[in-house]
Amino acid sequence: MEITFNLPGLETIEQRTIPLDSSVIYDVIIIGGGPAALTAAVYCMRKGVKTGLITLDVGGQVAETSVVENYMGYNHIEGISLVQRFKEQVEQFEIGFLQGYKAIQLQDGTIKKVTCEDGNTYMAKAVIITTGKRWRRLNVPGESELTGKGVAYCAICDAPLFKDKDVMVVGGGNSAVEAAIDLAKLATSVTVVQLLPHLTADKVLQDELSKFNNVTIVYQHQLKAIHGTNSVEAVTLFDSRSQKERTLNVQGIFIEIGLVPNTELVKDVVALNHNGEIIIDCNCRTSRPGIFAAGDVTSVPYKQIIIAAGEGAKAALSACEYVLLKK
Amino acid sequence: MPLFDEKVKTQLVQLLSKLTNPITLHFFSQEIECPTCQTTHQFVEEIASLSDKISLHTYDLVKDSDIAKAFNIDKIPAIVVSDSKNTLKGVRFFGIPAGYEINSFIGACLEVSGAKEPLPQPIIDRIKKIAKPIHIQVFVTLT
Repeated sequence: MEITFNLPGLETIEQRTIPLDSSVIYDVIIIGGGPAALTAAVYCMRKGVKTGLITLDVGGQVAETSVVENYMGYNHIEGISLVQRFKEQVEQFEIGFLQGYKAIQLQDGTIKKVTCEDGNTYMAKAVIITTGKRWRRLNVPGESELTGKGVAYCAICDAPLFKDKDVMVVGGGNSAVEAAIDLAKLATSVTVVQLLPHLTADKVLQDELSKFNNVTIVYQHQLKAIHGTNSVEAVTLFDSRSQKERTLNVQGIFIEIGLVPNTELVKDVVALNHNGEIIIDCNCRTSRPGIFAAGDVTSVPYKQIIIAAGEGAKAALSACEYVLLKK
Repeated sequence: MPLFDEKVKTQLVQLLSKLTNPITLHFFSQEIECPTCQTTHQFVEEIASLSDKISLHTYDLVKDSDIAKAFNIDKIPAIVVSDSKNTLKGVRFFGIPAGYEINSFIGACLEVSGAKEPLPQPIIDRIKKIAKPIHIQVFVTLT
């Protein structure tokens, strides 16, 4: 019997991050913890500017991704491992680090003030917003009450919990069809509920889905309500053609209708586009001087890890240049 | 042959240097050891040799049944991680903590020694709001 011990790499053990200090005026404070934020952190620290980072959790959506096969340098890496690598690369620097708290208010000015859930206000000459996106909710009765009790948003995370059950997927895009494929392998039945008369997912995915005989697609239907006492038991569907409602018994619902940008913090400070994303120029500058943004929260198209990381680097360099010219 | 090669040993020494207070490992096996018990026995011995803050006690599940009962051990190999006063902290490992599990094992040792991970206040506040006893069972797979 061969026994191995998988410890993280030696060089990764030393953590040099320091607690974020509310009495210091930082050059740059980064808000967020995904690929854009962590890359920006590395770039700022390598530029030698005084940097802080505030994030509720590290990894962003990558932490919820099972496997990544399109981040250069790795043919195949688990999302969580990639996050770990990113984090280790940041931790080799003496960066002011605050994890576990959300930034709740951003005050613009020559010195930007970031008020945080920990009760402190942190100051910086420049701020980089990298708050990413989160799952879009349907906002129907029963949804929030039954989230985690049958209502799910991440098929990669939660599909195995619905083995041999009747489940529903709401949506018709790539994420919905991917979820339906994952679920069809495990669940007894999968009902895909789509608002439009057709699916909008890529053809390869639609072809893959059509191979399963336990999948039903219900077009032009809307999910109106989710019912259940301790867990999901049934849903009310509205047929937009016949204008009639009907009830369907399911034990699980995956809501896969895209993502919304996390812009609550900045919505009254910087300009947003019609999707609620922060508008930035090619230097990652927002509508306010000294406030930069990068990654999925911005108007930059194609939400990808490698793009977010690249944009994070750009935002950092842009913010460093801004700080330098201000001196 | 030792279980830990030089590289792993160096890493472990470095990790265990963060132990705050002394801890005790209570290892449960039996007179004629099963192959896994033997390896786990070697594991705890090697771990204990890497830090002077770790003491090791070895027990026999049958002969020391009173101690086993007190530590809530009903199968072997088992390792209980306690503080130096043998106070139970609820940490028991069954089987060998090899592979990725060694990280949880080292983490548990550090935690019991008092080198705690700081918990953010909002999380502490939320936990404090739990009004009734809750039994949490966590099932973990590596992938």
